[in-house]
Amino acid sequence: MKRLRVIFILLLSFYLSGCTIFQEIAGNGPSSFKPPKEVKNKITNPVLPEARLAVLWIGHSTCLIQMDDKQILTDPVLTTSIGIFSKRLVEPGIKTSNIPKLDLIAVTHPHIDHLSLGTIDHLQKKNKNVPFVFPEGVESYLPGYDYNYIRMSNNNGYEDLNPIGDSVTINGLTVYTAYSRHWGGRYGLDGFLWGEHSYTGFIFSYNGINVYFGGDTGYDPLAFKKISERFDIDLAIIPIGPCEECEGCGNKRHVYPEGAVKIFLDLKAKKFMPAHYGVFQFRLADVNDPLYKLERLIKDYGIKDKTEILNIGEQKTFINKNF
Amino acid sequence: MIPSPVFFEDNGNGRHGTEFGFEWQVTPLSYTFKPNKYLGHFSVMMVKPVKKFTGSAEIFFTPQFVTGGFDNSKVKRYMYNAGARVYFPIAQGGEYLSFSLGAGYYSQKNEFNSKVDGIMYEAGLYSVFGMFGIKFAYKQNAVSKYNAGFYIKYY
Repeated sequence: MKRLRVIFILLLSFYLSGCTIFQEIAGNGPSSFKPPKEVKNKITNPVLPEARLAVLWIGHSTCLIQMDDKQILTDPVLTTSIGIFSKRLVEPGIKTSNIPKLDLIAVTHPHIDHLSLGTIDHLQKKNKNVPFVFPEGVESYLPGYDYNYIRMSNNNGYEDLNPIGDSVTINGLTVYTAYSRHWGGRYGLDGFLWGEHSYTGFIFSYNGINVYFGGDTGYDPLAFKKISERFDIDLAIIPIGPCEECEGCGNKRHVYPEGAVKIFLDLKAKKFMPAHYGVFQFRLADVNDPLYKLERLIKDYGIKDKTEILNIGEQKTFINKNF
Repeated sequence: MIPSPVFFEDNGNGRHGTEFGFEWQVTPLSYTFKPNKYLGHFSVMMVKPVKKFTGSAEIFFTPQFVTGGFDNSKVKRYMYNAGARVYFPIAQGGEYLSFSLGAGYYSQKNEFNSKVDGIMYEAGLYSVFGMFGIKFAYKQNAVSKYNAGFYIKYY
């Protein structure tokens, strides 16, 4: 009995320390034993010759973004679980073998739901020396795979509220690190030890098209407005979870649907695509709670025509060459 | 520096038993086989998990302490191992599963306070980002030859 008490106290202390892994374990429960929900009619060839801007939502924060002839993969997680214990509730929206040759891989931060070593290990076979961008600090979590790793400054976690960090241009495609408010690390304490500021958002800019990709972020009333002064954003992919009740803008490190709407409005973007929900269990919430809340909000805010809610595995063309 | 729990073989005076103790995983020097271009090959004292479990070789020093002492073999409760081990990833860049093989030198003291030392071999299996593992060690000619334990690191 005494040993059990010690084990319980140890587990509780791990959980309370903020460790992502232990929170994932604690939040899963029975869902761990179910196979992920099948995605029917998965797209086999996602390269759209007529599209100038298209997105295939693979799930959670993983998106395949096509900007003219460029293919960008964000926050690659295609594995059946994250952190071993947190199982995927829905299959990835595309077979890994059907992901085309990429022009860029972009990782916003090293949390287990945004970076899967198994996934990038698998993808490297088809994408040798492909540019792989990430914010400072993420290098501590990346093996020496055959990518062209590019570390980018994020203004030390955007503490000075300068919302644009580094930029790098790769074959005409320019990537900017852009404001996000989150935290780094991957395991728990490491976020305080060596990866505190390893997070960012991105802006992808190519042939006059700009896409904001938020990754994971909290809301800030100034930062996103400042971004809008510099960029004419065509599409903003913004996280809307995780949350249970989903009331209000969110917390310091995550936006809830209302915070995401505010980011979209501050960015003055033309289109809004929600992400970061629907795949991994968060505590005891329905994984689609953020979506239900968002569907109500977009009516209240009058932005229904600007919001594109994709199903996992669905591909949407935002700008077509014919228009 | 969370100590890892270990079980030690305790045979002597015709009796067989197991004793519980702890060991500390100290890594004075580690060499990563293929780090990314931003990380060096070498680490001193503190090895980031991705550098260790994606493939590395390290020198280790492992002080061991048996909480209740050895009842049967009468080996002194403080011991240490030192040597080299190699890590290999098995699944998900070693984050889900990796293993290690090692060899080195052990030092114990028997009931007469005489030094007993020699060669030891060990193997380990690690999971959950290298936070948890199980390890087995065999010490040639030692009074307490076998020990098995957990590997715990929290970061």
